[in-house]
Amino acid sequence: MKTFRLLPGYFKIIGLLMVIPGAILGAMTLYGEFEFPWLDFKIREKDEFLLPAVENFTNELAFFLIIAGLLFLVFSREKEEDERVQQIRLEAFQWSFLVHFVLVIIANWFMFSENFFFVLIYGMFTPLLVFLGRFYYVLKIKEAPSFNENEGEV
Amino acid sequence: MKNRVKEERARLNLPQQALAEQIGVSRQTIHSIESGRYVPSTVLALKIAKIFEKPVEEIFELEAGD
Repeated sequence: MKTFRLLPGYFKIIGLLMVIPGAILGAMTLYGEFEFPWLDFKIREKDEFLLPAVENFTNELAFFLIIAGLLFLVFSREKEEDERVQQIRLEAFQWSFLVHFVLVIIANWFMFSENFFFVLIYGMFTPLLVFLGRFYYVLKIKEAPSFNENEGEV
Repeated sequence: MKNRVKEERARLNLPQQALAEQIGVSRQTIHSIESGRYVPSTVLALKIAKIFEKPVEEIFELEAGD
């Protein structure tokens, strides 16, 4: 069956190696105001309202590591990638789409001003995170190989 | 959809793993098909029928409600 092209399985390791440091760095910039001094770049002639002349790119780096790493985790092959895994994959995408927008609706009514800023930040990861949660829940827990059922025998 | 994959496997004395390898899927997929949780694609159903050397309708059958 012709299916969507996926990345080789080892991209999962690359993905993890990006997401974990990215998440730590992201938390440090978001909650600890941490910045790498060498990531200061002058992008304008002078400061303007809400637009500083020098921008620090530590948070951009963290954001990139998280999003790109999660994409690698989402779009890499399973060891036994067959049509049933593909179906679980597609169903998990449906799930993540729905859950993401339900969360957006909830956040819309219950989160305001600065809190909504965090919604915007975390909201960019929810589709990917919900996908991973749902996909691996179905694959590894709900439809896990049941060795005690003796099905391998005839 | 009902299927007779398990019975046909028993007839040929073919373990799930061996059937899975012959048609290029995981053992878990064979298990899911046999327990009725997964409906295989037409391509996969035809491959299974070919292994058992029977027409596909003798292995897969529509049920009321399908």
